[in-house]
Amino acid sequence: MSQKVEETLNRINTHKGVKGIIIVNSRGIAIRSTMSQNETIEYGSLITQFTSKAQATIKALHQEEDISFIRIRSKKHEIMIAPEKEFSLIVLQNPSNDETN
Amino acid sequence: MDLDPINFSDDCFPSYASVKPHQSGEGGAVGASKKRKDAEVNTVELYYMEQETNTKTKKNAISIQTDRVFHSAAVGDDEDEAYYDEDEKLQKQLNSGPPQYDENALAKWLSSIYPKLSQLLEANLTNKAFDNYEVFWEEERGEVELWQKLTTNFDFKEINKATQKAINQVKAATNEVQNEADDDWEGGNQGRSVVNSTGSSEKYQVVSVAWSCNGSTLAIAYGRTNHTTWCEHISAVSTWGIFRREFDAKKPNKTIEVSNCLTTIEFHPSDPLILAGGTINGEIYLWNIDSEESLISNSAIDEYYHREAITRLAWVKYESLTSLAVSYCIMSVSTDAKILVWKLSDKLRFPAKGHLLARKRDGEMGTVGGTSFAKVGYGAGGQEDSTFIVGTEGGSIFKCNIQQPLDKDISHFFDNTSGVRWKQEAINLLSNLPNKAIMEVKKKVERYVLDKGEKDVWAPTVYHAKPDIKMLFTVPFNANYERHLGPVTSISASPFIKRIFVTSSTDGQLRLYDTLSNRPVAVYEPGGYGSGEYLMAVEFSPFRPAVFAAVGNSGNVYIYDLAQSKSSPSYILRHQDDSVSHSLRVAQSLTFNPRQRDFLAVGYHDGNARIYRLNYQLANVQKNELKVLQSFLEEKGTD
Repeated sequence: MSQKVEETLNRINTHKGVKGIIIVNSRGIAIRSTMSQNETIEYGSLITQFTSKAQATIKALHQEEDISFIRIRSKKHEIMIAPEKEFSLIVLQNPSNDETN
Repeated sequence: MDLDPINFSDDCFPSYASVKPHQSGEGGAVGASKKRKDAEVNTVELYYMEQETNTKTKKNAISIQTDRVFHSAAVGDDEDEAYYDEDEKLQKQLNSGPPQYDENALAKWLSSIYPKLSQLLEANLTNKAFDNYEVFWEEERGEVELWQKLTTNFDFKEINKATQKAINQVKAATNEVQNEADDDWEGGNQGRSVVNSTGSSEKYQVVSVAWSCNGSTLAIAYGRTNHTTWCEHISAVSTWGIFRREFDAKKPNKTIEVSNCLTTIEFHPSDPLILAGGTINGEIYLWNIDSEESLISNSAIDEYYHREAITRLAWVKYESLTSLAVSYCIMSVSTDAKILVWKLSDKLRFPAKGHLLARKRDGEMGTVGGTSFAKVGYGAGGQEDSTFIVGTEGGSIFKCNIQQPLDKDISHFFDNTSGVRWKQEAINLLSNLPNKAIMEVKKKVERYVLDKGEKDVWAPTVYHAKPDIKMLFTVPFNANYERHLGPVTSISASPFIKRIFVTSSTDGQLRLYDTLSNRPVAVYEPGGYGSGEYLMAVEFSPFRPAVFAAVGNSGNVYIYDLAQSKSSPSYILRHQDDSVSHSLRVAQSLTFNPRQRDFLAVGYHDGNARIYRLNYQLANVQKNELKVLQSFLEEKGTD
């Protein structure tokens, strides 16, 4: 099964502009990463905090609501976060270098 | 469970700092396990998320996006060795501690989330939604910086030596020569020669700056402003092609000598080579700055032309209603209380028409010198017509109606010409007059011509005949605005809302007027209340509706951005050259480049002109700023 995880990660990684992929568990600890150790820890912990805050906000507004996906567009990057009960997938992409497309 | 966002976010997840010890040995393990305990308490509630609900929305999202991006979704799976080597290392470290997870669940989840992610990754690359979108998190107040300091290499001292000698002789005769050095020639004809006996005396003051219509040439007029009598200086106008390769701030591309001091220059609005200049003695010059023999023509000094300082020149474009032809006129305003309109086709031989700035005061007609001038729009829509605003030496601001020179057919007046041949240009001249005046002037001119034993009447002949000036030149005023307390040094009409104009005066005020109302809609005192700073010039930005800039005798340039502040200048550019004495720091003129959004040229009395580069904000239109300017009109409406 581990192979299948690798395979999916690999497929994500081959997308254009993808800078890094991190899978964190519910406590914000990385279990898979393609980034350097420091970056992994930084992204993993900060984004997990961010996700939980977002989740709390949505929950507070509507009891029945849940976050299904978060996209953060910054000047240089797009950070995509797919949260789930056990894991969160964080993908960092630089969408600007699309000259060839 | 009641979710308190604050407690929730702070405690439930390990912060960046608290994760750190975890991956570095045993000490961290304790911390981590503690964290884990905290986390577990919360996670149940937190991450409660139904798989089904989740996937449904995902599917929706996918179906929306599919038709847009589909190509190259599946790319070859080349393995990136480096990534996974590092990954494994990392995992060893990370997995050495507590994190345990269900590999199968992860794989299942990943493959369920992958389609959507893949779509997004593709969509991001082709998405143009954010391309020109910029969020200003905070006011980006880039600096307005000095770009160039232009100094002419024209040797005023050398060229004026002859004059200087003559003056010295006069001074010697009147025993006024004091101990000043020979280079202090310019103090001479003012009789207060002790002032300015420093080295700066060989430099002239920059009295006017002008950009060519294509924005690539800057012309700088030099002259002196402290005459008390007839000007006998030789001055000059220098031009720089600022984008040329051989550009040198100390070496103009061309310098044109002028036989007396210039007061104002203005470029042709569509031909970048044609420059018009007015002098302190009342002549108007027309130059082609690209040709060897630059002078095209110049006007004479005459009772019916100008005979005092020309304070402002303006090019006015007239579109003929009958043909497609466009004609340009130069309008000149002078302290001799005349506004003259010169047709370009007449080569400055004579004014095509004129107006007298005169008012009835105590039953007598008193004239008043004009100091500034601008074309504005009038009427509710602010449409362009023949409305102009004139500022005077006395501080009054008048609205004038100045029609373009006409060629209307008045041949019936000339059926009986009593042996005099009227040339067409002379007839055209008279056609601007009211019918009653035509007969009077005609009679006068014919008598003059016959007396001289001539037969032809050319346009200048009409002026030589010296008809009553009030008959020939009508008074154009039709309304006035609340006056300044000092001479109105300049007027600038908004290029965006033609009804709005701004005036500057030596009383230290800038005033914003709406042509429809007598009182100013806003008054600014950039030097501070009651500072008494002489404001020398003001101009609206050609690109930003809510921006205008003014200069004063302190050498400061005040840039107002009404979108930022409606009360005080947003930027003050100070004269920073400490070697220049305060009396020479005066900034006399300024002008925005009509093409290059960020260039602002300012002329100083220290003999230099400086080009400033405006920051992004000042050079580019801001959201809703036209409304800011419009709000001045609306406030008026509710009054």
